[in-house]
Amino acid sequence: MLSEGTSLLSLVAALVGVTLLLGGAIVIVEAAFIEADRDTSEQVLAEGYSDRLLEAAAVGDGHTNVVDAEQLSTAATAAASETDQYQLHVSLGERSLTNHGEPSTKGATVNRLVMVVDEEVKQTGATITIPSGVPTVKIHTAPDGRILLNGTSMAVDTPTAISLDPTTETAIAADEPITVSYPRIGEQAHQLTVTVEPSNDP
Amino acid sequence: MTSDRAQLSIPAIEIGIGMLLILAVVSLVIVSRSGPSEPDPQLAYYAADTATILLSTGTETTPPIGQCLESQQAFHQQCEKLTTGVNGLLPDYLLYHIDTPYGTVGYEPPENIETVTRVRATPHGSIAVTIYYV
Repeated sequence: MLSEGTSLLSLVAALVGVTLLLGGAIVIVEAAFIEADRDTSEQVLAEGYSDRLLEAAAVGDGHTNVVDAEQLSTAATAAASETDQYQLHVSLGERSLTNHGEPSTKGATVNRLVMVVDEEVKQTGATITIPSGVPTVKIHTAPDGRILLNGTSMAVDTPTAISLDPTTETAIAADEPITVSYPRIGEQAHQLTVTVEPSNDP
Repeated sequence: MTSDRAQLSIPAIEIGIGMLLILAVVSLVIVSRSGPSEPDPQLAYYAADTATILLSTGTETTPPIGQCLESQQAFHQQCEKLTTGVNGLLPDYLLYHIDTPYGTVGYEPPENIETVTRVRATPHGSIAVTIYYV
């Protein structure tokens, strides 16, 4: 009688143990799937944002992956301001376009290949060569107030824009280093990186 | 008459069966939740973007690929530039293989490696851009 009671008790304990183990295992697996689903939704958002940014900054008919850098920056800032539930980070090459929220290692990232036009080239030096094809150059700083444009001395009030002969290279020199900027000619390959992360806000 | 052979105790057998039961149920849950495998979405973007850029504007050093496919001679003249151009377009951790009507450019992917291919039509035939991780 005592033996039968002990066996029954063991059986109940074993069944409870198996049920608990099974339940625990299912809870762990389900949690992993929920986490994977959340990553998927961030991936979908990141893909959606990358498509939107390419469309908003597109040059031409919009299906060429050729983008204007300034329009891309504006579109990234606008996109970041729309969302509270997610954090959005967008960069073009090494240049950060928007950083909405604190970067973390979580979230999903989508990289897109783009050709960037009208990107500004900024140079500082005592002698600067502007490649042919550039129509204008902007002089940002000229400590002496004078520059040599293709060997010809001229006074400049900074900042100022100077028209160039786009058919040839242009040499700009000064006694002290000057800073100039001009639009890059042609497209340059870059990687557009869009990262979507869950917001840390409660 | 007693046997010298060791025998498993009944509780040990029951525990074993119980563990198998748990594994079976968990496996069923996993199998029922996972769908068919899809290509790496990032590789797919790299392949699609590369094909789009090659077709539309070309790379920094090459014209749109359609111009390279006007004739066998044009392809051979532009082939080397095309290699340099695509190398500059893609990150260092990717390799590519481009199949055109006049020949191939890039690196043949090894077997048993995940690749994504995107095909685009040009007036001179289709190109297939395959991208894979190094």
